[in-house]
Amino acid sequence: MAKLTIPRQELMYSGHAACPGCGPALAMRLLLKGLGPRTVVSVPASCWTVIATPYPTTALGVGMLDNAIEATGASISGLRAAADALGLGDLNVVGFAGDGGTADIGLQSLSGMLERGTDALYVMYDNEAYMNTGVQRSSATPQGAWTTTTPVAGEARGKLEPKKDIMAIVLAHHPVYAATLNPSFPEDFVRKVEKARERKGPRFFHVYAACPPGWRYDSDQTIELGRLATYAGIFPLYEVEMGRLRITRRMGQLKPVEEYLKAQGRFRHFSPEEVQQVQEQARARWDDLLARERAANPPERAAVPGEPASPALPPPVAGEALGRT
Amino acid sequence: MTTTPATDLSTPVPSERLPPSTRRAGPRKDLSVMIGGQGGDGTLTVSDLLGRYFHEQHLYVYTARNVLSRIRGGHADASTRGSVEPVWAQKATQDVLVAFDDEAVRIGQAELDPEGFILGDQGGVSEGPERLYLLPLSLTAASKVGNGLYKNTVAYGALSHLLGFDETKARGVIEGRFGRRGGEALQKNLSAFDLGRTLAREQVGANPLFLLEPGTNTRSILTTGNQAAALGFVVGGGRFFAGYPITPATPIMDHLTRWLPTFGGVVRQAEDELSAINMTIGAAYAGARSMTATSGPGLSLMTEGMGHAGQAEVPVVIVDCQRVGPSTGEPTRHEQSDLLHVVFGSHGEFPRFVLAPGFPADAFELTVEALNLAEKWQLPVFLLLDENLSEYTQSSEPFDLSKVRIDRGKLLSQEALAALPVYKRYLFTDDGISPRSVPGQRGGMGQTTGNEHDEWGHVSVNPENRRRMMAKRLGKMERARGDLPRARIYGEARGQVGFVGYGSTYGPIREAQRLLAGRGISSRFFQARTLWPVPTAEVEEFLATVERAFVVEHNFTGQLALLLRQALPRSSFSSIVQYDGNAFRAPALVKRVTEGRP
Repeated sequence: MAKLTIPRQELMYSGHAACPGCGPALAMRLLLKGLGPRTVVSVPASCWTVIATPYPTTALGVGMLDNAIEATGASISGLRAAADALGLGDLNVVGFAGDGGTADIGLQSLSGMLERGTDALYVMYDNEAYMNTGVQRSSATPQGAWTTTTPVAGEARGKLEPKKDIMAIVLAHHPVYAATLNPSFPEDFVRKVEKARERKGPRFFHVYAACPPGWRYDSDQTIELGRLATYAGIFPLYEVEMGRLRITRRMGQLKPVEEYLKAQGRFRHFSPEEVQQVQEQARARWDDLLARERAANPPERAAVPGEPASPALPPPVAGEALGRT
Repeated sequence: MTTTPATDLSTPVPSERLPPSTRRAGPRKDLSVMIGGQGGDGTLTVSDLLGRYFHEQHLYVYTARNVLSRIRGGHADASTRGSVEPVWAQKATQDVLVAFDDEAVRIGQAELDPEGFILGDQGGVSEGPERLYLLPLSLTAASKVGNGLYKNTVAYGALSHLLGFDETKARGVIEGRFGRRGGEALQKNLSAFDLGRTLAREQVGANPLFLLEPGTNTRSILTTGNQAAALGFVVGGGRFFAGYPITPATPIMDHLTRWLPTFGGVVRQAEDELSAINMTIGAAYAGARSMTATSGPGLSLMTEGMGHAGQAEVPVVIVDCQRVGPSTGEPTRHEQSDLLHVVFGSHGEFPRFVLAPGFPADAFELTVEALNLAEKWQLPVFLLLDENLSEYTQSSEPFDLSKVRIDRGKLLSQEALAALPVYKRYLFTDDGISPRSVPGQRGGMGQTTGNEHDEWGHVSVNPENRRRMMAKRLGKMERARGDLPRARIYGEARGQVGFVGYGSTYGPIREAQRLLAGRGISSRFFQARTLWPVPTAEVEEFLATVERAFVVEHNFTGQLALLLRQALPRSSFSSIVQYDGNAFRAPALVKRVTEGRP
């Protein structure tokens, strides 16, 4: 019998209050499988605070601290410092915030946490808008997408501005480990969680988290949509360890973005020109990643297609190297 | 069943205590339907369709909802009331309960009139009391419409038969609601509607269970306080709005996103409330009439900006749609507990006005007024709404455009500016209001600052200047009194009972007055519309006309009562509070004032 690649233990239970097909729910489930029970999560006001605690149950098998929407980075900074002082150094301290709570209102707090070298894992689950209040745009909403505050009517064509590049912002803080994750690739997902768990210092995950009601697609399509996102270069999977970028899901050729866009009501108004624009952006994003990977890795060490997690990476760097909170 | 403590106003009064008129047979003049199920069952849609139908029948409509803060799941219910007489609040009991599951039966039953009936979905309801009609709503939707989700429209169809609706009009309501989504959704809903009617006719009986008397109210519009405030902003000359998503204020931003660009205005969704208030200050400084809207947690973040606007004398309007606090509290439920925050929040001392509308047309009017007052007096003006006023759809008088006027105060034209020997942004004047230019006007340059400053806007710590500047700014509160919206008084010239309240307590209080009148008890209601500065003289005058006065509000500490006690230390009144997330119900309010247990 083949060895299980995904831990069997469930720390996120059924009976939660998420919608069918909820990407953020899948993200939490896989995250906790990888982290195990010695974990505490700090969650700001978001979909996940209501998913986790529908009276009289809780969906989580780990402790949760609910915090103000702008405060996740600060919350886990305090949590980490006190846990260390109390001799709970082995506790996985995790912030789990949405794209609004991270890239908009929580950006200052995230930056503070990263800059201080806080030994914690910050997870941004990116459903690309404010869903809990009924689909308003966030800075992570893709360009052109419909939301209630970026309407599509008459001359209005959805969100005008491009999606904020949260990974670039995070990487400018030089965290020990940062990665993009997608629940449609569970083995890649859990591998990155386990890797992050073993590192000390600030770590960051950007998680693709599809939202059926907010993105306007059928809830049984979440996994398929996630695959398309990665295969089309909309959401490539990679990790950056001590500044070294490595693509973890390699594609010889990107799938056309059209299939991905057509599957979602929020892009239904796209003209062929707008589709073409997204296509070009996906291509450029992918080429850029390839170039950054080449630059970071000497040719003899470049990753090979189909290769599992690289065994040749340097050993985990002690958090002290960056200073711990 | 546990005994209900006397102080708990959330439990409806059993119908035997209601006036006999509500128990008679024949067409109903006042009917309320509650729809309960899980979030995602479409309860709000049925409530909305009923509201539209009642409106078409020229009835007065009031809808209420009880939903949890989540996209899906958990118990959710909504009620829709239609009445021949004006109504301003939820009915104390429900005549019909539509239940999609057992929990909805259990919760709804507590409010069900003994003569009422329950329409249950066989797919989710296993048992219930007498007068429960179980129909295969979800099964029919799944097997015949192709998707179980249409069970809500099947239920609406069944109801339309059981309540004797005009079929064409009831169908028309579906067309009105789903028409613009086009072909398939409309066709499926219409077919679900027809199937529902057939089900009810075949399985319950050919005759309706209740009939509803049509009304004569052809004037009203259906709207919410949020919609009214957004329209008031557009009509009142508002041209810049910034906000950050937060329940229950988000609809104001959503409405303005659609409407404001047509009038050359701008809506900016900020990255947080610090940004929203400071964008608003920036836009106001640049010369646009500017507003932001939020709820408790966002207001907390705006607090520094509130003081800045007061000190720098920048005119901004801040809408606070109150919900249950503190912290995340109960985002979708009702409370009035931010009053002291808007009155006293932010460090230091600065002038501000707090206005509070009681119903949608009032929200429209006071939003226009808030914009005028902010510019005329150059300070922050708060518009205090609350969850029920913000979100509950109700019949409203059409908004009166003839009363709209725009007063931009001492905002200088280029000609007026040229005529001045010298422009000082913070010039000392008799009324404490200085001339104001906007950036780019010739001869209008100056500093606008939150530092203490002299007449020029230069930073100053001179004690004499500080004294004069404080007097200039804080003195606005007294000088503006005659300008501030006056309270509205309802009821008889003198009252055995007097009510003082603001916001959506307007509804239950007015209905309580009607019940009191039915019992021969005279009453008067002081609907406060300016809360800060406290309208001391007005309240004092009112208190002199009533025998016993009650200050009615939704919070634990009696915040309005506290302000009134401080302003009127020798006056006598009692405080009635409720803080369970629900709105007052009129019969319970009557009980509180007549049984002397405030």
